[in-house]
Amino acid sequence: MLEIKNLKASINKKEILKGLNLNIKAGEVHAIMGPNGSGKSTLANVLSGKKDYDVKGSVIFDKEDLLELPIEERSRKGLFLAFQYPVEIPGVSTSNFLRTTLNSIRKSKSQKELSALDFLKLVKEKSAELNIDEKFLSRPLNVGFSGGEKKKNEILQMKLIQPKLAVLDETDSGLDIDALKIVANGVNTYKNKSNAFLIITHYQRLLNYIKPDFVHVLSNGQIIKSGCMELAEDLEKTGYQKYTNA
Amino acid sequence: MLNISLPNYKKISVAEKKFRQQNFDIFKKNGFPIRKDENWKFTNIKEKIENSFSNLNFLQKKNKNIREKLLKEFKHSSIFLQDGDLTKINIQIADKKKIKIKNLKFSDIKKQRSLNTLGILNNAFFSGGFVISIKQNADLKYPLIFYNNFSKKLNNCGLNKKYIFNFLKNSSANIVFVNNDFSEGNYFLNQNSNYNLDTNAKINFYNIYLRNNSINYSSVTANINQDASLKFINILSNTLFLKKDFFTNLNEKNSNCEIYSNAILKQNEHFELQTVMSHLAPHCTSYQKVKKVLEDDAKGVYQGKIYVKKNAQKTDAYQLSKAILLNNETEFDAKPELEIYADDVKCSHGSSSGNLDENAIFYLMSRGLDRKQATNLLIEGFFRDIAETINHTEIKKYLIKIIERKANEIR
Repeated sequence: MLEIKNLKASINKKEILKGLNLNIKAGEVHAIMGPNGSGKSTLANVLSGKKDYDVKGSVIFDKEDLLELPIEERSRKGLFLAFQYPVEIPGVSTSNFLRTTLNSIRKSKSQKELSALDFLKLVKEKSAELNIDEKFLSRPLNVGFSGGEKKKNEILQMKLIQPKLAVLDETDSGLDIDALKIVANGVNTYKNKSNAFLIITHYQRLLNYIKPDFVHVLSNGQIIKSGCMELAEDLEKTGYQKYTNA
Repeated sequence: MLNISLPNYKKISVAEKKFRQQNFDIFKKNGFPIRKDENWKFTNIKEKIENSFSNLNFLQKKNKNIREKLLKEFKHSSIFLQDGDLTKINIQIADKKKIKIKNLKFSDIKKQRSLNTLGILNNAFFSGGFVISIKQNADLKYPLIFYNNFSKKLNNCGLNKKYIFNFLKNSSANIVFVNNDFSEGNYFLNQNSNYNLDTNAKINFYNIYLRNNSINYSSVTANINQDASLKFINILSNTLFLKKDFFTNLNEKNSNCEIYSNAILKQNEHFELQTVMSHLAPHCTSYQKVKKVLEDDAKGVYQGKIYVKKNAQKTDAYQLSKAILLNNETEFDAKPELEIYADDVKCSHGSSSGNLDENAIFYLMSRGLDRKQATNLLIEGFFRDIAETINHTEIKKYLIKIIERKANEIR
């Protein structure tokens, strides 16, 4: 589904990703772990098309050259990024935003736009699954939301948009244990054979709830070690140092 | 060179003739305002008028082709104006006895203090207008909509209008003023309005510019008495050249005035809003929130002054101006001013201008919206808080619809 080859990205002439390779197939959950400044969020930003970077290498997503696509096309083709810091947008209600994005994606797939009523039904159902209060939908997008509410809102968007590949950028940061379980449950109930996840995190904590098939260590802009869940457990015990010094 | 002379008015009293002549003489001496005048620093109306007209015709012909299209969104009373004059009045039965409206006569004009030179010009050349009174204790059940329409051919006309609104003691009303210009432009419109709010009058005034092709100066003087409250909401787009001056006198204690303005300016449109909020008595409150979105070569100006007289203790006044500049060619000028002579007051102001938040655009685009959709949604959001202050559900819905439509017109 996603094939990253020799991906390099720099910002203000400083190289952050230095030749990254990664293959993700449908049905797989990959976790990328790494210390601060290793390039985790840069990877997420580059995949979703943020403009600030000078990018080289190739990324094939579902047989298409991802790097050639504008930001919105990547999303419409099934790539979803759950933001580490979801942006606050005053004046735009959460439900208006959700409906606009959902319909814009449906339209691009030549599907019929959802009526206000159908949308409301759908969004109520999905927010109940995530334990989200209905009142929250009439509040302006992310404005004054707690850390947990912001992250739940990201997962709600994922469940509404139904992407093929979801990149979760430090979704566990700022979550208490209850919210973490709810978010993880949201991911687990969405996971199936035809979609895939790339989970970016500092800690093993989230991976106790979302079991990855593969764990990669990102250091200094490259994946320096790949393995399975044991690798994450080892990292939690011994830290990143023994890998970053290698 | 533009040459202006006083027409030979027929069938007017000696007093009126004298009044017009006196004002004309003053105008002759002073001319159009120039940029040296602090109030006209950002709006060069003299140059604009001299470049646009070689002559101005102040004698108004009776208009044909009167438009009488009603808003269908909600039940209301309607008053139609064509080129500034009353043409048709239709008040809902429930409100019929609460409203009195008539054409303006010379005897309705009261002397105004500190008129600027365009006010003087208006006195010399005024060609009608109206006086409306909302009676004592009257609470209008339905909104009152003024349809302020302009005809197709107004080339080289100079229209000077006076509108007087008297809101008597304990009255309350929702007034909607919809300005819609069907002209080919190239005319000068000089409007002079008075809003007089007597004790405990509660008035919401919604002023909407759907289209305005004139070179336009509009001044409003609001006089607000004890416990009375005026909320003025201005929504503007497709406006070629306008300076709107809003002078508010909070004359007696516990009076209140709120002014909100949303404007979208594009191409080479020019809009200046100037507010002068004079706190002349204790315990009064005022609030101004002024928002603009500018694109292409548009120019937006906000001059806002809060004046607090020595005895106006416990004044609570706030002013906020925000502008979004969508490209580098736009210009936005803001001049906030506080002049305070009392020592126990709360007064502050804030001003910001800048581009749209690129992080917000990226966030929205990463959810499948293209750049235009993302921009439109952000602009809708930028303007939305003003709509949220409206209590009347149907008017609110109508204004939100206008805001959404206008936001979507941005490229």
